[in-house]
Amino acid sequence: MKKIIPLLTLTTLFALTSCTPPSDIIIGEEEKFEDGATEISMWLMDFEEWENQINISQRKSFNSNLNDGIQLKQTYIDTNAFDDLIRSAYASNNVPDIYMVSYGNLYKEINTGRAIDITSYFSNETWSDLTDTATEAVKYGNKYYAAPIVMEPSTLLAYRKDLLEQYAPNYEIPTTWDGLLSLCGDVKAGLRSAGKKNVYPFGVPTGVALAWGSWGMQHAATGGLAITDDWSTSRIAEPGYTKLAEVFRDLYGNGYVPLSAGNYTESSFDLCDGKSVMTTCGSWSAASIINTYPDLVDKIGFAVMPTVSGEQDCVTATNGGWCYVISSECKNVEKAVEVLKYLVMENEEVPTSYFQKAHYSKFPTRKSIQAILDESYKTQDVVPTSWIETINYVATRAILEPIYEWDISVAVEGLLEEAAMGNDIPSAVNKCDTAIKNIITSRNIAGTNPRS
Amino acid sequence: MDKKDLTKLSRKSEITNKIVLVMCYIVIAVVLFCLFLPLFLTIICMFKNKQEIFPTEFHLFPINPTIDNFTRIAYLQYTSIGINFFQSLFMTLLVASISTIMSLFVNSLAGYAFARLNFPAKKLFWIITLMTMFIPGITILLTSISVVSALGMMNTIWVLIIPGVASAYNIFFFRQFYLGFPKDYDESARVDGCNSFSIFFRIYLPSSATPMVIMGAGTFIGYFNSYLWPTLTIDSDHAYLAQIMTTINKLFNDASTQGYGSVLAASFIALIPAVIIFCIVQRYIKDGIALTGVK
Amino acid sequence: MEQAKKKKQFSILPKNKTTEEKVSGLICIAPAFILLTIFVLVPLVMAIWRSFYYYESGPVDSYFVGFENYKAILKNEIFLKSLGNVLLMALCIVSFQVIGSFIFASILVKVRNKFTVFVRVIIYLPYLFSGIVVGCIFTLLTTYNGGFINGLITLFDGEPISFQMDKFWAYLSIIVPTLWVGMGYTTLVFYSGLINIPNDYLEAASVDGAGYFTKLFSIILPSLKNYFVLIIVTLVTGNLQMFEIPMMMTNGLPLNMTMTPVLYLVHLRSNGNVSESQIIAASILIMLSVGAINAIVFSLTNRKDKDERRVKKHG
Repeated sequence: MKKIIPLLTLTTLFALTSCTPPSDIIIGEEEKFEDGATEISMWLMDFEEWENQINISQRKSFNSNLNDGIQLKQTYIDTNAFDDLIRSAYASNNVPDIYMVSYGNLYKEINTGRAIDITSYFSNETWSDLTDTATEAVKYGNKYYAAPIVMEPSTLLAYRKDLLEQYAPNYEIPTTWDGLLSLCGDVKAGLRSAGKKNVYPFGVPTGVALAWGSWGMQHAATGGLAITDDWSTSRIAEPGYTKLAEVFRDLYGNGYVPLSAGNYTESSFDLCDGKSVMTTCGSWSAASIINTYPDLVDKIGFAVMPTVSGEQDCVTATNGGWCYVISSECKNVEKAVEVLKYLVMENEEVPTSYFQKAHYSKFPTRKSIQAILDESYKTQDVVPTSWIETINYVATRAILEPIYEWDISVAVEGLLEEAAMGNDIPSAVNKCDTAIKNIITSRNIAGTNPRS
Repeated sequence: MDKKDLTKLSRKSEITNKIVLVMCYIVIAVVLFCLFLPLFLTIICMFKNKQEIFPTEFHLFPINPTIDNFTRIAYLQYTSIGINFFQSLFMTLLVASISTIMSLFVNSLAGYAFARLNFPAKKLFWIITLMTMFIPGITILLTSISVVSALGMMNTIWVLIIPGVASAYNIFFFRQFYLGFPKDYDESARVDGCNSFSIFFRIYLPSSATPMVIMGAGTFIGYFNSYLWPTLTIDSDHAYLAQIMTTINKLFNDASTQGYGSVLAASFIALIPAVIIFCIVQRYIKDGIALTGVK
Repeated sequence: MEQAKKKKQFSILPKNKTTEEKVSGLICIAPAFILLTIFVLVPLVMAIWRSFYYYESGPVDSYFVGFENYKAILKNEIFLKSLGNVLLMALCIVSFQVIGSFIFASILVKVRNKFTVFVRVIIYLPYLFSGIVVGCIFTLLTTYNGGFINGLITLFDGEPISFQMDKFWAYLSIIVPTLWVGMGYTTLVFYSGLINIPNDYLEAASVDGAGYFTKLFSIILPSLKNYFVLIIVTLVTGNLQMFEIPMMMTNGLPLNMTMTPVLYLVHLRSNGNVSESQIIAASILIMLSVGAINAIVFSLTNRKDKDERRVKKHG
């Protein structure tokens, strides 16, 4: 017995290494290294494998130029460990030259001096090529601090055409919350008569994801976010918040959504697995669906998130996304800038192919790229045109992710959660209002919004 | 009391004894069931694909069994994770073994001193040592990195081993264990001319197989499962030093697309060597002192 | 070779017994204490120093702020709430784990045959998993739509349980995995203590006609006192600082009712506009409260000691 276990282990290990890899793993070639080149180190977020592979191919194409004197080195960083890693990099003098941050965290990087001002390294034409939202995202006090990569609207409505047809024939995609609720009711009735217990009409984010996933809904319902633009006081008393809370109460109270959901980034998979008929999701879900469930592409539709009034020509989502910053410890800023020019800022081929490989699920940050993509999407047949048009429609209207204190978003999430649990809404609104006002006074943030 | 009553009494106690035994077995069975249920589900899940792990319709066993979860980890170095799973498993075992041996020696010595010897400022030393046990990792995370990088230990195997060797928790464990040792032994040994060191090496160390196994297993697993520290101190240029939990956590990040299957499969494979080691050493958990011949 | 070296070293030691003990005591703790100083105490002092400054990694200047960081974190409602939550959770876990594993260890000692040796190995297995993996394993059970428990419930036409929306179930979904991981380890510790109780004592007591509970309170518990202190202190310390399992199971839901302080700091660090020095200050507060609670545990057990001595004196 004692000899069998190690033997078995060894044989399984050998068996494993001789098996063919799963279909999504591609064994690529080793890349050549340039002699005497300056190494530019870069930290990227560890996304899903297909997206990492796009970034790897970008690096390979950059390094294939053996005459520029620059060798790019990429490190994929666990998104949750990023803050520890960047701080420990400063503690151990091992800071990367370029790293990726989200627009929401960019201001913190600027505030701590970790991200440097890069205005002068790029020409005025380059900066003026940025779209308005991208400019707003990376520009603080007339200085540019980052090279914006993508914009991703975080709240869209995705639905399964086949399931809707099956459970609620003659459906119409709702534009108002009331319409959505009544459609959910129809689907629920259809599901019940079909005896489907584990399928839910709709899906909303929960927990931390609700705190940022509801920004778009908040803006659509109230015309603003939880605090005023000058960060001086709470806007929770706006009737829109009560209305939104009532929507959540009805969604949960009637069993239209599962009482607890998984990861928001996975919410589209619930749709594909047939666990939900409709769901809220971010634009990145479009690419995930095409990559993971190619068979279902024709059966899924994207629409603008419903609003209280039915108005769709307004902010229904926030644009999140990522940008590259150059760190304060970078020794060769000029060369790091070359890398950014190639990957994002000046080259046209690389960003264009990035957005194409990402199946148009992300919105570009440069007007010139946008113009190219606007032409090219019509000639491809992988991504349904209606998806791309919906994403573009929402993205052009969306505002940027807020950069106010995270705890404020957590307080709003608490309000929606209380409503979902069936607690009294007016008292929950009051509670949330005082909590936010407390945060504003105790942390002295009134009038400190750097974007206004 | 006559004889008849006595036999009756003993028979009665025999019966109660049997009932107690049966109840004991029932409790053991229940505990084992609770213990095995999650493990059982985990093992099944390793052979499920992503959709089946959280199925819409309840079914226990996989409909389309797959070994993709296992083959994936054999090809990790070709993904963006870029770490060879088996190499990192080997490196983790190496680090954990060296550290455990060093840690057991250093800490049992200190535990012995705190339990048995009188030395100046003992109480102060003891309080300071105990206090270090209460420090949340998050408090000293970044400052320890400043320290190890000032010592030039970053990206070497030593940064994984040395900082964890001395542990207040282990010292505390050994002290509590040695406090229960009969004091007569060291007094008679002192009469024979032994000094404090020879008492430790001749009496205490040989009879502490039980705490060594329990504590050693705990320390080993602590090293084996450490995640944040290796992530922060080993960079991607030194991927050959990558620790197994760092690798598994990277796999977990990708779980949104691949499902939990590969994470669980990876952690199961990683645990096989640890389980074998534990099975081998656990037989030393015995009636400690009585059996090692001190008596 | 080595032994010869050691002998040489020993001969350097003073002959006088008490001075010899003093010197060798210091030598014995030296390796451990030097390592602790370098890798724990120095970083701790640096951390405490930073907690009185505005400090952030990077080129930004730090400046002295006194107790501002501590004040700010004490004004934070979620942090205070999380301290309360973790106290409740730790109380449940520690009491259940100590009592449960003591009973189970007693059963194992009572039965004590080849089978229990096997059980002893098996119950230790969960301890080998890291918190994240344990979280994964129990997510298989508790997921709302598609988890094992709800799968069974819906199979029998019941209402599925939400482990993230209901306070009771949320607590349970953290407490049960924690117990699952830790029980085997504490049982093993108690087991090793129980088998070290000399059998003669117990037999003598049985001959005197003592029942199990008399033996338990007069012999077994007193002789296991060191083990109880050890386990309670380590469990209290470990559970007050837990965050991996709560992060995986509920991540603070519902309404921050299962938020633990360390988990909250993890949230703050990755999402907040909170400076590093404030997080350090908060973690020092956690350390102080853990220390205070353990001081209470120690003083309680010490008082028991004194009581016993008093009883002995009077008896």
